[in-house]
Amino acid sequence: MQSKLILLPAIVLIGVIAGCSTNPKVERIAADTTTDLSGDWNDTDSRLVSEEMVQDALSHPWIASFIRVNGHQPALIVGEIRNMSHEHINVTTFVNDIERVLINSGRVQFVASSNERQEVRDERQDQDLHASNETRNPAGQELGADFMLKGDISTILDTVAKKQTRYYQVDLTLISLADNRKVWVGQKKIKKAIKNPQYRF
Amino acid sequence: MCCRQLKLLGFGAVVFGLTACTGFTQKNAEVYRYLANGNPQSALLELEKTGYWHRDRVLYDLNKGMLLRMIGDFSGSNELFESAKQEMQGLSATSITENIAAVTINETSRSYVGQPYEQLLLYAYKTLNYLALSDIDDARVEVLQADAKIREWISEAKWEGVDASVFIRYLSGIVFELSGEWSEALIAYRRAYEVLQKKSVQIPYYLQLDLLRLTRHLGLKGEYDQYLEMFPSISATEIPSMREQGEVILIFHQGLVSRLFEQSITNFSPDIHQHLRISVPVYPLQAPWIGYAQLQVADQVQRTDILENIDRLARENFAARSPGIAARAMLRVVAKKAAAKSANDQDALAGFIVDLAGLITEQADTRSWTSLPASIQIARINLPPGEYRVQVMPATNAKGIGGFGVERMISLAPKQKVVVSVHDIVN
Repeated sequence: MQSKLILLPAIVLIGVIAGCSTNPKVERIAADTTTDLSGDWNDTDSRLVSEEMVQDALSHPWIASFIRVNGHQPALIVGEIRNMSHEHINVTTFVNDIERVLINSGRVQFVASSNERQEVRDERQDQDLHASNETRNPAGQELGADFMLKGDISTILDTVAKKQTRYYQVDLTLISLADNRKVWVGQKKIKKAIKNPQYRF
Repeated sequence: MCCRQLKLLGFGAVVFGLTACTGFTQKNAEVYRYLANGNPQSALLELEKTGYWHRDRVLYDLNKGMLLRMIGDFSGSNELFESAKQEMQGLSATSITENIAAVTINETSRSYVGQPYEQLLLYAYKTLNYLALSDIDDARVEVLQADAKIREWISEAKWEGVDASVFIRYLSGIVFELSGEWSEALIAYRRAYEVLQKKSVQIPYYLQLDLLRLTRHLGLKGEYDQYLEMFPSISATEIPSMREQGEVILIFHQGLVSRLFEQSITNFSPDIHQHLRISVPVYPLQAPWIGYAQLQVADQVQRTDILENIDRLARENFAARSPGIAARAMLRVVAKKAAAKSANDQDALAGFIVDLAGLITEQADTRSWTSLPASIQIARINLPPGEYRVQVMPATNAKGIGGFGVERMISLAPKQKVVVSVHDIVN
């Protein structure tokens, strides 16, 4: 027994060193594969929430009412979607997911965001100076948005020791730019149970 | 190769592996020297040159993150802090091998996961970096994560971290105010106040004022009257209006926290004919000097008030850990001597080598986040909207003050709050 004790520190040392000297292993997987590693908000959450919420938004009567009154598809713009959660969520990815689903639905038109618009305006100004008359795009022809999509992502955490329940709530609101009316309010909830290990090697 | 040679080889590996890395304080002495001389740029170069042993990855990231912050690279700093945070989370589970190593080899065999006060200050400095980058939403994420961490400790009855939460609570209040969430801000200030009250520490003047200001703003008359009674040094006319005025908030990071040093006792025991060596970490007796700063905006001058004495937190944390450190040191001596005796019974040379290995590997764990300030102080000035020159300078010319001076122009709108963060690292 005592002789085994002599080798214990060496075994421990080898174990400690071996545990920390691995190279990363890379494996390519499909972009829509669900990979829940840490329990944090991830690409799957962003994609599923945006798809479900946009489907919900498009299934309500505000589009039909707008087309009946105005005779054309509504033009939308995405306003601020604030991250009020406990995590550093890439809101840009989420906004892009929403834009993609909305545009691809073919039922609404989409207006560039304020940052994108500025870049386009700069380009138009540049065209004024440098482009030929036939190819120049004049100013003052922009499509004004009819509705703005705003919202936030928030979380509620419940933690006891190594166990945690994370509750995500995404609230989106579609506001009419003509009269500030809220024409659609959507909500999507996600709940995750996370158990962190108590021991490691 | 015979069994005896294998054993000797095993111990050779242990001795080589553990003597290759000198103690943390020794290894980073140059980094600290540059820093204490007010030269974070050189300290950063030295730190990069020194590198780190894999078990000290968290500390390396924390120190490098802080040095990058000091030289104004807030994004780079947050990348390092985030890396430290992820590493800490991964290491939060108890390691079986590292704990065995701590009682058989030495305490530095454990990966450094950060003491509770360091873990909270990590959130705080990430928050301050986001504020410097004008990213209120991400700053808000950090204070929410810190709150989740504190609540986790409360659920486990780990009160040390909760007691070290004054600054992060106060900073949360500032972030919520910047975000326009007044009730959340009041809750955060209240929690900072509760911790200070529990510790029987004098309530900083600015915290008193914040509690009065927000309870009045939110119309909580009962609580406001209670605070007015509890803080007799503040009159109702002193409490600034939140609707018309803007505010400059100074967060002053003063000095450097004390470092741990190794203290070793080596003796030859005539009873067992072997050397005995115990190494434990100790703090220098003298705590760092506390200097104050003054914030001057227009014709108003305010002296800073200590919000968190980090040096005291570090020493209290160490005092709480000391009995465990001493017990493990004793266990190590027993384990090492048992191993040496067993080896000696089989072979005198093996016994000698095992004994020597035991002596060489005995090392105190002097690791701590050494680029933290000794204290974090606060000053706030309310002003009507306008353009102002903000000046931060030492409050006195007493010996020990770093002789820093910070000046910048700001534009203040009604209800706007500008956070100015200044490090005076020269002790």
